[in-house]
Formats: sequence, C-alpha cells, structure tokens
Amino acid sequence: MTERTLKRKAAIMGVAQTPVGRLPGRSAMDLNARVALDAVADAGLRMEDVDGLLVFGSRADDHMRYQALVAEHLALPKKRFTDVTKTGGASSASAVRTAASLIATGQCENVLIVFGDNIATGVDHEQMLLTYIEHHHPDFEVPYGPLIISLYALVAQRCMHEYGWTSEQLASAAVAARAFASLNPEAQFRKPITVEDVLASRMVTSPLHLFDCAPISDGAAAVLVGRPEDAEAAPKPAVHLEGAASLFSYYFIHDLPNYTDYLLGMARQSADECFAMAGMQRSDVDVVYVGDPTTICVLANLAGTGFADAKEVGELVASGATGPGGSLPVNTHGGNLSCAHPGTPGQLMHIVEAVRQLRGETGERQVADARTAFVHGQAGVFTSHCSLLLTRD
Amino acid sequence: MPSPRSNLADIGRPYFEAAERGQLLLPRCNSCGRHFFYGTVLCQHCRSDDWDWVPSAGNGSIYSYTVVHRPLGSSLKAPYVVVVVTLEEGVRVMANLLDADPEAVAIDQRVQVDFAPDWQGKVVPMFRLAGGSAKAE
Repeated sequence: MTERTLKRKAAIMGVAQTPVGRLPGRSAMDLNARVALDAVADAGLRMEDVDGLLVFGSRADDHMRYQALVAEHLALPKKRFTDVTKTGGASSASAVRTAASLIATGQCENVLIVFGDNIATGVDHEQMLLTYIEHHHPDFEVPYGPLIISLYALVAQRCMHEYGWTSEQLASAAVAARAFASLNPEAQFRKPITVEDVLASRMVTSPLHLFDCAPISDGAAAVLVGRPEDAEAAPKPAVHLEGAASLFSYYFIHDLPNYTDYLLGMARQSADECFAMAGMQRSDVDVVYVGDPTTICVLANLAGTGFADAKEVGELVASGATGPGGSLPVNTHGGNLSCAHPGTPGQLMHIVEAVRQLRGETGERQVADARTAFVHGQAGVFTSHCSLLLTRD
Repeated sequence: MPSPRSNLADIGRPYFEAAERGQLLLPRCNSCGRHFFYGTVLCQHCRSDDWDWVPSAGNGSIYSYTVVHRPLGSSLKAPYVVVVVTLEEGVRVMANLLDADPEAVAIDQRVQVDFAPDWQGKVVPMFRLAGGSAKAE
C-alpha cells in the first residue's frame, strides 16, 4: 500500500537569502528570523500558515532547542512538526526531503526550512578551527591535527593518484565558480580569477591551495516547501519536487574501504535513487548544484552522481563546460567557493539558486530556459549525501 | 569541562596505554578473526562484541597524505604531514609522518610505526618512512 515516492508530492513555493560575507552586528538568530520572513513572503503566505519548521542551529551561537528559539523569534508558537537537522552540508537537501515527506503524508501543509549563521564575524577564527577539529575523532584523528579541509585533501590526493586529476583541473572548478559569481551581485567574491591565480595562491593543505577552498561567510537562507496545488496558486512559478534520495554512511574517513570507487559510490547510490524516483535521466538536467566547500568536491560529486566518468571529470571541468555558457552549468550562483560558505547554511543557498534559475530570476547568469535542476547535498567528507530533482513546468 | 576524549576513553584506553610503552595495538575479532579500526563496540565485519586489542608490528604504506601548511593553534607548527596508512593487517589509520621532507612524501611509500607526543602532549602512534615502496614490490 505504501507508495515509495515523493514525486510531485511537494513543491518549493518560497525562497530567500540574506546578504553574505562579513555582516558585523548581525547575530545568527537575526539572520535566521529575517530570512524566514522573506521566504514566507516570497511564497505568498503569512507566518501563521507555517506548520512545520526545520532549522540547523548555529556554529556561532548554538542551543540544544534551537528550533524552539527560532520559532520564538518568529512569533510562531504552534507547529505540527519541528526539528534540528544535523547532517552537515547534506542537511539542506535532506531538510527538503523531510519537509516533502511530511507534506506528502498530510502531516504538514507548509514547512519552513531556515538555516543561518555568522561564522565569519561571530566566532574567533582560531577558536573555530579548534572547535571544528573536535568534530573529528578525538582519539584517532584529532591527535594528528587535520583541518577539516585536510580530510578533503586526503581524498583529493588519492583521486589524483588513481584517476589522474591534476591541480590545474581542480583549479578550474574554482575559476568556473568565480566566473558565475562575477555575474551574481549577491556573491561574496566576484573578481574573476584564472587557473594561474589559484595555483599561485598559498598552499593550505596539499594539494589544496587557498583558492581551492571556500571562504568563511555570514549569511542565511530559507526555503518554504508546500503542497503542489498551493504552489500552483502561489505568486511565483511553482518548482516541483520530482525526486529525493539520501545515503548516509559513517563519519571518520580513515575507515572507508577506499577514497575512490567506494567513496564516489555513496554519492552514486543517492543520485541513482533520486533519478529513479523522478523517472528522469542525467541528460534531462539543465543546471547542477553540488556542495563545494573545496574544488575537489566539484569533481568528486560530479563523478559520484554520474554526470561524468571519474577518469574524465577533470577534463570536463577544465574545458569550461561547468561554467557560464557551458554545456553543464554547475553552481550558477558561484557555489560555496565564491558566493558564500556560512557552514551548513551554505548548501541551502544552492537550493535557493536552483529555484531562482528555474523561475528565470537570475539576470546575467540565467541559464536559458532552465527547466530541470539537480541538487546534491554532500557533507562529512563525502559520507553524507542527499539528492534532489526539481522542475518547473 | 570534560575533555572531548572522555566519551571514548574507556574503549580506547589499552591503545593509548600501549602507545606509552611503544607498542601498537589493533582491534582483532575473536569471532571472525579479522582486524578492524578503530575500537568500536561491535566488530566492523561480523558485529561480534568479542574482540581484543592485539599487537601489530606497525608496518604499512602510505594510502594518502596531505602536507598542512597552516599552524594549528600554537602547538602544532607548520608544515606537518598527515598520512593515512594501510597496515599489513589491512586496516587504515591516520597519523603524522615524522621527520620527513614534505616535498618527498608519496603514496605507496613504506612506513614503520613510531611513538611521539601529539600536539596536545599525549603519546600516540606516529609513522616514519621505512624505505621502499609498496607499489614496486
């Protein structure tokens, strides 16, 4: 009796994003509350129409009942569902999937997803590094001092060894992200860069240079997920959910069987199940969004989700195909690499941009007649994945 | 405020006590006979809870590495090398590579365990280059 699908059972009705970059004086809660107001207005709803609330919390100023605090600041005393989602960068896509599940089963009508943080100005940078490192294994990883991006670097080094990816190809992902960001007035970093600029930037954790890594930002995003019939009647064009699937593994990557086919295979399983639910093919997709805290993530996630062969993805990215005017536009807002990286909220901005592209609202960077977007949330150094397919009729 | 280590201290204590004595221990399952890493409540292969920390010679090769060029706080000076080592027992462990030229580190280089204080002062397993490459053999 159970129909295991979310295809067209929910739609995204409203999206919003705050300014990004350094926002001194804006608390994480202020960002969360104000972006929530904007997303609800974008959906043509009133705050009291919201009956589900999903938040992520805050790295800068967390609380174990963050969802209740956000509700309080929104003067939203009664919800049918609320929770905190803690699957890192995969939380954004995963929250949409959870919201759609609630709507598909009639448990909620309008679920608001709000993620915001101020890690650029709200946290001491050195302290944050130490805080982040405590999220590694305290006994078997922390003693050796890997930065978060060092774990991505370990994967990059092995993939370069086995698949032949080069530093120039990784750098090309940063160049493409910046080229899109240069067309996005809201992006944190907009000045175009070259492969040479990336390779000349200082090495942080080999093989990743400074420009292979996303900045640290303040900022927030919000998405309102509702019923398809309500979305059709809403002021903005309805963006329908066609497929959603996840794959969650472990956290400590030293345990993984390998950093190549096994690692990429986790993204593949999530993406394959998403496409199967949607009844769609990779060739149906007009715009692609992948979590990109580092350049290695672009190559690994494109290969992992089946948009390129692992041995060919480096050449694909180096060809410019993933940048403006390319055949496979990726992260058209500039991604985490150039638009913004406020931690976990960063990948909700991928979903905001996907919706804006499908609505045709993105100005100079608009991909002509974009009808289908694939969003792949990834976190925990390729161990948490959630894939979404979104369309506009 | 408790150290973040404290949650897992009981299960990992033999490992760190052995490191103080200059010995590497790995979890090996008494039920299926296979090694795994790290010390989880259940064996990663058969989910038996009957496993012990057993000695390892600490021979392995570099599976991957990164040279970190940014100091971590005031106690871990850059550059330092983080390696993931495949041990002869088939498990992978993370460590620092001691006294190596960061420019000369490569995948497949043979390594041997050693023991040294980490950046927080605790003696933990580390590795040194042992000469030769796993790939060449």
